[in-house]
Amino acid sequence: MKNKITLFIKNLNHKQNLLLIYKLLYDMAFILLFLFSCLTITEGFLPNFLSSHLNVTSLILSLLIVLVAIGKLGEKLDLHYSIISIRKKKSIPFLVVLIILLLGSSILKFPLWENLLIISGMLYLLFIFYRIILRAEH
Amino acid sequence: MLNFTKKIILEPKWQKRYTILRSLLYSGTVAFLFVLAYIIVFPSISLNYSFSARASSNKNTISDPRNSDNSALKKGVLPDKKLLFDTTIMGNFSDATINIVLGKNSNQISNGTLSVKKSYRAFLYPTGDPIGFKDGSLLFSDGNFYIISNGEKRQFASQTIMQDLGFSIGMFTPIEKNELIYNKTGNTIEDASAYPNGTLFLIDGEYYQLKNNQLYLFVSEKAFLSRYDANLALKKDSSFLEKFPLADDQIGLADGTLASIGTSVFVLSKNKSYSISSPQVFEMMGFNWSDVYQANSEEVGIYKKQKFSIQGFTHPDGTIFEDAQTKNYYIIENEQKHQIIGTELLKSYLKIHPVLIDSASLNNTVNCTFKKDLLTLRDSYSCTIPLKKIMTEKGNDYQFIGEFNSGIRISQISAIFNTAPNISNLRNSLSNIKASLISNYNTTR
Repeated sequence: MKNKITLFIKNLNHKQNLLLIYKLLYDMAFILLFLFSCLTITEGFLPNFLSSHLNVTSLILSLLIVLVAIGKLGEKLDLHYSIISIRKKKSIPFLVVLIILLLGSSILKFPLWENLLIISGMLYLLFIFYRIILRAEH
Repeated sequence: MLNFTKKIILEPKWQKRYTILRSLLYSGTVAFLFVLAYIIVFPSISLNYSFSARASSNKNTISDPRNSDNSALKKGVLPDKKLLFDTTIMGNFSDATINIVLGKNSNQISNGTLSVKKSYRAFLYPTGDPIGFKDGSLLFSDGNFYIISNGEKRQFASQTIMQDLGFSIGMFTPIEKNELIYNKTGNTIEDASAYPNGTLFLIDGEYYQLKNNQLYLFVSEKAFLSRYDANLALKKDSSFLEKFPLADDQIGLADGTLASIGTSVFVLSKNKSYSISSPQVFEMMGFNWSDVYQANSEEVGIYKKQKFSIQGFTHPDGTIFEDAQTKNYYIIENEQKHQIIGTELLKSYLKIHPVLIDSASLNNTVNCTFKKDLLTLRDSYSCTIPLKKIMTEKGNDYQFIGEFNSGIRISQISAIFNTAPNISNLRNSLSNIKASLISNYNTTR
């Protein structure tokens, strides 16, 4: 029995096995991120519609665990990636429009002056993030 | 496609394993999404009650299991072979499956039936005596002047005494003699220097009521007008405030008032405020949007906020129901419904739209018979009731009445409300989703 466990752990640590697990973790991360974005967008337009059926905390915790596992395993396997230029991504304008729609939906029933304040704050934050990303890329 | 780790190339044997595992992962995700969609479109709700937990435990989502005289059941024992309980849920369901697990030393169920009716929980309360006029009301009947004080009608000994106290004839509402019979008779007012309890005053633009020799301030003009007409208050100057001490407590808006602050809506009753969690719940309770009063923080601040729970939410004291079938009106007070009989009596209470109900729903019931569950080790019996016949009744409360043989002791009750997967329910679900979307963006409320 002890030999079987030792053999199992040895097989688990086999590089190909670890690479397989790493690739599967990436797929899991994609699935969890996809579910999380669907949840966020749906909740933005229909509050409580999905969150009453899905355990959001478990979803977020699972995503965090998978991302940490990817990081740790990547470190162990000595895998590196080049920095992606976010500026050149074609999905950025679409994402910005989506953020604005979600934000607009959430502040629809606020008084006008509060709306203007929140939108100004958000635009400023978006601008700061853009500058940080630009600097990082340079 | 969707290959996020293109640069990591596995050996052929491992690549094959990866392909299989990846397919299983994505298939599992698709299956999960289908199951989620099924649960959303054809929802089911499960409610429970365990006699081993505290009655007030959050895990007990079935309300008030009791016997036929509304006494709570001790340890699940049925003293009169009857079991009553309520479930409050939102939505339309095809059927309900009720499961009962018997306790230790219980007889088996040989003859158990269950019936269910649908209405508003408050309307299912027992009927009490008809209600009389409120304290402070000024009434003229059969040539005599009356004030309602401590629930009793107190006659002024003469018109002179009435006028010496500061009242005028125009302040009294003429009523039929039979409208006064619902207030007990109190002592005649013979002293022109002593104001009876309940007298209303207007002092320096603020309204007060006299109770036990103390003046209670109405928190706002609206609070006064939600209960009384403006002409019922005796006008006095500020020196009058020196005659009586001011009470610490204030009088708020009338029980049953719908008030809003910002985007939150509350029902106010007996110094408590009950938050209404969504427009759907508001409409499900039969309230009218035009009755919502935009309150200020001072008016709502005197009320103690209550936690919201759809299972425990019922129309509070002060709510008025109108029976569409009999055209009778009822007010809820102390877990009883009291009929309001009389035109002027009704006018004195009805400041907002009543909640519409149909008393015929109380006689519209559906039944089933309990059968033993075979695929379980526990002593468990189930009964499935189709709900189609009562689905259109107004209300969100299902009252179940079970009748059994003697010697039954219950350990747990569960109620599962199901939606059958068919085209009609699919259309209903989609139209509910559309309605939620429209309601969410209806900024006119």
